[in-house]
Amino acid sequence: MSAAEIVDPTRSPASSRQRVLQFLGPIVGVSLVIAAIITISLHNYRTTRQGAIALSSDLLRSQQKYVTEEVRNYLSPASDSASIAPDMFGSPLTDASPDSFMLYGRSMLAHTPQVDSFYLASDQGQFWMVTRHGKDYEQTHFQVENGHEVYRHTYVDQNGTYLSTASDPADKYDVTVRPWFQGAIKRIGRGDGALYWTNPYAYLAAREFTITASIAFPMKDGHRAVFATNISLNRLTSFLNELQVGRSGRAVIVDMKGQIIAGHNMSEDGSEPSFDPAHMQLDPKTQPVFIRALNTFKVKGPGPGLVTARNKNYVTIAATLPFVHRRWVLLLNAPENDFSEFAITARRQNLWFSALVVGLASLLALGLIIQGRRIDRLRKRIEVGREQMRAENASLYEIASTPDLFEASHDVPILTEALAARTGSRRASLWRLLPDGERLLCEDAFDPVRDVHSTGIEITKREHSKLFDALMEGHSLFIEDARQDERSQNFQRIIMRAVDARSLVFHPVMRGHQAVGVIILEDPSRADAMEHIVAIVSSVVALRFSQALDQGDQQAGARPSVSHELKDTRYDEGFLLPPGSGVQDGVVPSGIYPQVPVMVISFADPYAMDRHSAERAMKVVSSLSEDIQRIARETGLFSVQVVSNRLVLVGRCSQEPDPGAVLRLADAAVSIREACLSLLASVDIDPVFRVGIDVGPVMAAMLGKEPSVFNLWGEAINVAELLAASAPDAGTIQVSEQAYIQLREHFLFRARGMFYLPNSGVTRSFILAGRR
Amino acid sequence: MADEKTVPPAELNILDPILELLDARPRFDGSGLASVRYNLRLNPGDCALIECRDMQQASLFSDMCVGLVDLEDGIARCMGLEWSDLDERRAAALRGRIGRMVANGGWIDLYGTYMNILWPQLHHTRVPEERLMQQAVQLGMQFGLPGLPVVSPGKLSPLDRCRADCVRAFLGEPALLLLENPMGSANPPLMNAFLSALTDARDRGCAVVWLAPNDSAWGAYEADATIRLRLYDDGLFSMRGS
Repeated sequence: MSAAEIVDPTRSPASSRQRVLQFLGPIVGVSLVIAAIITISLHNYRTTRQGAIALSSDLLRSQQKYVTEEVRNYLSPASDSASIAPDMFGSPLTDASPDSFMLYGRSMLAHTPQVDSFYLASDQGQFWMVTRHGKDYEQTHFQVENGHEVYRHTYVDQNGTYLSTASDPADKYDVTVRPWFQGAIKRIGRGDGALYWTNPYAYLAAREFTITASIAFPMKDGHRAVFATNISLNRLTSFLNELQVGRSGRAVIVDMKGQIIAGHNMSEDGSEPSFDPAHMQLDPKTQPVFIRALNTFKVKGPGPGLVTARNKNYVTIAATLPFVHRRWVLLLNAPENDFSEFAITARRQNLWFSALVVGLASLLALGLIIQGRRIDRLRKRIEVGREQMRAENASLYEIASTPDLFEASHDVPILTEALAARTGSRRASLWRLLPDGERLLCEDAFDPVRDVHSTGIEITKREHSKLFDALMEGHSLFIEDARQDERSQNFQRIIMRAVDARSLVFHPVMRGHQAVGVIILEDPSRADAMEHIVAIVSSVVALRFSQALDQGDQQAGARPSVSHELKDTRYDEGFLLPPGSGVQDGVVPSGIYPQVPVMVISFADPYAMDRHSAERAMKVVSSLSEDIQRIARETGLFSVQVVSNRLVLVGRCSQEPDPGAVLRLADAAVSIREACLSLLASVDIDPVFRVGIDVGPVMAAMLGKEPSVFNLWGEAINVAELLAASAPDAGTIQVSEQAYIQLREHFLFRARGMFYLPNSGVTRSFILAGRR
Repeated sequence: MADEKTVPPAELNILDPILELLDARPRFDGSGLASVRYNLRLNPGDCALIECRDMQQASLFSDMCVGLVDLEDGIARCMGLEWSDLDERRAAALRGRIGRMVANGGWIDLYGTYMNILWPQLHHTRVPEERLMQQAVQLGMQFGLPGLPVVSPGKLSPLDRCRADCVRAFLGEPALLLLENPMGSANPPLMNAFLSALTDARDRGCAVVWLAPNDSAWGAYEADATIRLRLYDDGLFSMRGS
């Protein structure tokens, strides 16, 4: 395939596909393994995670049930007490102690630690309270003593036995404006909804968070009484805080507005100045999980959920607490890791195993690719070897089919061409040892880059003694760097430097034990493949040189000696009309002339001419030259120079453009054409001449000394020669665009067309038909 | 498909034929080429002169040589590759190695002659345009053109068009030349340049099929031909003395 060819038709797409498959197959295989492992791992991970989440949700659900039950139990004294209060405390309240209330209160306080106190009040302003006082009980009554409103505290034991009494001022205390009182009054008669729950508040005296549940009912005297139960939330908070939800889970009870009722993050004692239990909200910064869980609950209702916060996944569960009048929500959350740690560990292990498998698969694939490439290289090497063998056979065939192969007098360029082609040499040459044994004569040297053969160079033993020694001993040399090796230094300088060659193969050609010549290869690129072809060529060359040697011996005496008789060299200028004929002073200084009209007439030589025809043609040429000479004089041309079978006619050689000179030259061209046509027709010879005219720059100079020869050369002459050579038909005058511009008003032209020339660009040429 | 299995042993392929027709029988489609068996084998450097009075038939024969005619039977092989085995891309690439002068000129007048000349090489090779143009100009001068013709082919004189045709066919050192009456309107100098280029090409290993309506077209060159044939309606026949 030519290196420049885009598609190589000899290359089957199947082999390309196979090569691609060979390379891509293992990669695709490993990729599939990796993809399969990733898919399986992902599936495993998802399944495990789903299982872990389901497990977590179940766990949280059971915890939620437990907490719900606990909370129900915790708050049950309030609802239980409320249900029996109308029946137990229906008697009208007076300043006399309501014994049944006190007894009930003491009993409940003794057995339900979360209950802080009980209130009983009426719309007449009566207010009774029973609460703990150390191990005993304090019964408080709001009353007026000596005109002052006071709280009269009576301390009793469990059985109600009086222990002591005390009072506190209670200025302007009005129980009917208390929230728990008013809330209960508003809900009177609502059945199950009659129980009123206050917001949690800090009962500073007891250092506890308290919530009050109150219920109003009518007394027997028609007035309304309110029974209230104060339940401390501290214990509920402690319970929720101590509740184990996973490893690091949390629980909290909030209402629908996000106000914390109990649980995590609830201050222990409410001693901080900014603490307001009525506005204790979930904090978005510290409790984002609860906030999202609450929002999810608001949208989706109760149930488990997944929340991502702080770059972690949390399992949550939300449930309403229906037994509390206000809509309380129990929220539980726990990090997913608490439950799926084992899954993460398993996943990590899976990852390592997968990486190991992928690594092994990659190694395998790499091995396959390397093996494939190695096989490919081996195949290529075999192909190259086969191709080389085939090429050698072809060369051998070509050499063998060369006529007169062993005839020393017959040139056989195929020998060096085959050597250069098979060895990849920069140059291959055959050198014959001359009979005197002192000189090697280059019979043929082939330069494949320039595609030229050369011959005739000699090297002598005096200058290349070491190389000749090797030749005489019959030693083959392979010199990597001929410049450094003393045997080949001179040879490199004289011969090899011309092609910039560095390495050298020097193979003596032997006839028996006698060296008859040498094969020299410069810069061979296929040193490993040259042995065979060199041996073949060497054997052929040995026969040829031996024959030449034998003939040389026989003809040695008969060879004419080189004549050293010198004759005078002729320096004829070849001018039919000497230069400067049209110039007044006749002297043309050397220099560059920008606008010189030049005409070239090219005569074609017949290839095969017998002697008679040649003699006849010579007469015609002689006659023709006289006519041309005459016409040139008549038209006042500057010069007419004969160069082999061409005539170079110059209109005028001056620094200033001379339109008249161009016209005279064209006039001469037409006249010469007519003269030639008529003369050639008279002797029955086809027109064999072509004419080209151009106007352009030329260089003029006197060359040499004694005699000096005037010469013109340059672009105009080159173009005129090209136009003459490429004139479309014999007997035609082709002019350049420059000449046409100056001649078009006086002569008739026919356009030939536009042509591109690398150095001139697009130009037009015209055929001069005749005068106007 | 010409895979490794079908390639003959290397030692038998010292000289691969450039063009080989083995009992090639084109499918009958009434186009003008008889559906008979054609046999031809051209080695590198060979030149077959084929006389054919009907140049349309000659064109179809050339088409068969470049794989443009479907075969009913037999084999048409070029440079060891069977046309029927090649996909369109490879077949086109193989045609890129063939220089052809078609009887009807095959010029596209929408573009300049230089584009017509350079197209095949621009399409099939990566040779820089500059170098291609240099080669084309050189060939043009060899055939008597003052440069690379820029005007459209229709505006050239028949003789200059013939020269441009030669440039197009010889550009890119083709391995096979299919010449359909190439020198129909040529003058002796052009004929000399053509024969010179043809000899160079053959010397380089190019096989040549020169089709002409009569044997006067190739003149004295018939002595240098490898084989002389006649293309009739019933096949290819050797001429007497060839």
